[in-house]
Amino acid sequence: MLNDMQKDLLTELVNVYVGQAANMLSEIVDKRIVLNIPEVELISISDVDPGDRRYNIFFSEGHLFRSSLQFGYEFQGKAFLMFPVEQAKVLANICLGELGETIIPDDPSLMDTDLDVLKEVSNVLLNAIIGEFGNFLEIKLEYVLPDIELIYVTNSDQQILLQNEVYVLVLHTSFLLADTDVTGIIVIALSMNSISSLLAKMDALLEADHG
Amino acid sequence: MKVLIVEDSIFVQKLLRKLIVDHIPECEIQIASNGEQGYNLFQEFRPDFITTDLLMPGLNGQEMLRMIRETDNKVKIIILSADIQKTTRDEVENLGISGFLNKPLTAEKATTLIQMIRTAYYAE
Repeated sequence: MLNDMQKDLLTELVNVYVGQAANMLSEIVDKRIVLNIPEVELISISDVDPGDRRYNIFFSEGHLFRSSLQFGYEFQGKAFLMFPVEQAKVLANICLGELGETIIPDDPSLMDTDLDVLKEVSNVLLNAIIGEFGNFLEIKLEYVLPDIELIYVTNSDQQILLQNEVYVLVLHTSFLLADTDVTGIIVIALSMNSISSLLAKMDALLEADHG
Repeated sequence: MKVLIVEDSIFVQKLLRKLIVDHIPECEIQIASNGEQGYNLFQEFRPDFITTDLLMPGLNGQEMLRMIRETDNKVKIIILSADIQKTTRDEVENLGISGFLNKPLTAEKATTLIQMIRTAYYAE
């Protein structure tokens, strides 16, 4: 549903925005962030094959820390940042360590202080990405306070993020904190109207670029 | 020198308090977790300097800023926010702020913030 040029431009935009967000995370934890190339796909729910590994990368079975940021109104959607719980704990410990807080080694449970840190880190990262979409479209996005939750994903609810939309533009990427096994996944789902606005803006840019 | 920190994240509250106390130990600091608490503390505490987040539960930072500016044009206010939108920055700049720093608070931005507080202090 996206032509090659649209997909290329959108991938490039997401690449730049996630790169900026990763730079911010790198500054928070004082570690290098290894980025993967983002994948951009416009899909309908009916196209999602539960057995398709492309979608399973962020629905693998297990406990996840999930933060979500809802935005609107002219450009509506929801952005998600997810970490396996044990890796979220490592990230929280790194941040709290910078503050000189006492860390209990080998304690895998997420405490309130950990959740507060993870919420703030997610807020910075997701704002960095979604805010740039607002800048690109030259509109003001309104945010709802980010939600955080711990979820258990099983193989039977792989469509958990996509269940309320008919069409979604899924932009997903992952990153790795150097010297750790912390891997985060970012997914942005946009409503159909928002996808149209974004494509119109991109088409105008592509047209201007190619005369 | 009195500084009011308005911030919903406990992590960032602690970070800011530590930063300010480490560099300007004579500062008296009060902390609020949202705009409403921030506005009430502004009235009671009468700070010289406010650092505030924007997106917070209840009354947000922008609304608090608007309410403060209805009665006080002198208090220096710095925004520390994750919102990187130009439109947001333009809106709050029109309300009269001394600076806008995007989160995260890096060493460079922390130095800028301390410099701003010191400047406000010595300007008194």
